[in-house]
Amino acid sequence: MKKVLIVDDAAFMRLTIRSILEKNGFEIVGEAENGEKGVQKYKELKPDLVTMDITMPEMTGIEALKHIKEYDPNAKVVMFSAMGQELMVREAIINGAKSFIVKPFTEDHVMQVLNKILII
Amino acid sequence: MDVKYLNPFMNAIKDISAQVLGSSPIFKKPCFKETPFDFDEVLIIIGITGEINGKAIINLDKSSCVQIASQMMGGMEMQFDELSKSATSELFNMIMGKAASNFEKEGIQINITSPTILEGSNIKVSQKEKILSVPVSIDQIAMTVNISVEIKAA
Repeated sequence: MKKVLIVDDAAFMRLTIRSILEKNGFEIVGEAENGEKGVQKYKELKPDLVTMDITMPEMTGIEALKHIKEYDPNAKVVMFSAMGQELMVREAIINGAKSFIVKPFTEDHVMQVLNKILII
Repeated sequence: MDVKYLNPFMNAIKDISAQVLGSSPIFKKPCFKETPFDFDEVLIIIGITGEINGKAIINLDKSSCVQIASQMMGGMEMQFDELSKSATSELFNMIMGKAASNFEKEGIQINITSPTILEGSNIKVSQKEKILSVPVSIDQIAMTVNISVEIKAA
């Protein structure tokens, strides 16, 4: 079972992502409500995949992505953000995000993206 | 504040309401609001930074908040609590994210802050910038979207 860490400042969004992933056979090993805690939990839990929001207090998802990739260049991080501007997507991909899912999303789209990443 | 900056927000409300709530919003005539002004029940504040600066202040009552959360949770029965507030603020986070994409299409880059939620009665808001206020209804959900934006000085 693939282990996932969910990083998002909105409790509602963490619950939504958790329910989609658990329904599809993933194990949620941890949740974090900001980028700083996300980086700490990545180091503790060593998940197979991270879902990362961008607009968060304390540390943004882009900063957290940079820290995680510095610590583990093979980390698989997928951005989940309402900020789908081209510049934002480009910045995430340049910094090592495997993919970018714009909110609102559908379960089918999320599973398609995550399964593809985990096969690679 | 130039009224032309209102369209990217209104189009974002239309698109995200259709996708997330499955309904089309009805907009009433926008008007400028003098500050300070009073709000009741729930306020969601999202800051706008980048090539334009400002904020969106969304005012709605608790029952609208519960209605939004319930629809976002697939029709689940909800109460007014931290989860329904989180769902409502996430809806407006998505709306503002979509508005940022709409601005990008017009060559303007903006970013947004995490939503801040306030609740109470007779909340007084004072700010220097003029606020453009638009009443919006989506089925049983009623809210007022208050936008203030200014082009950042070079």
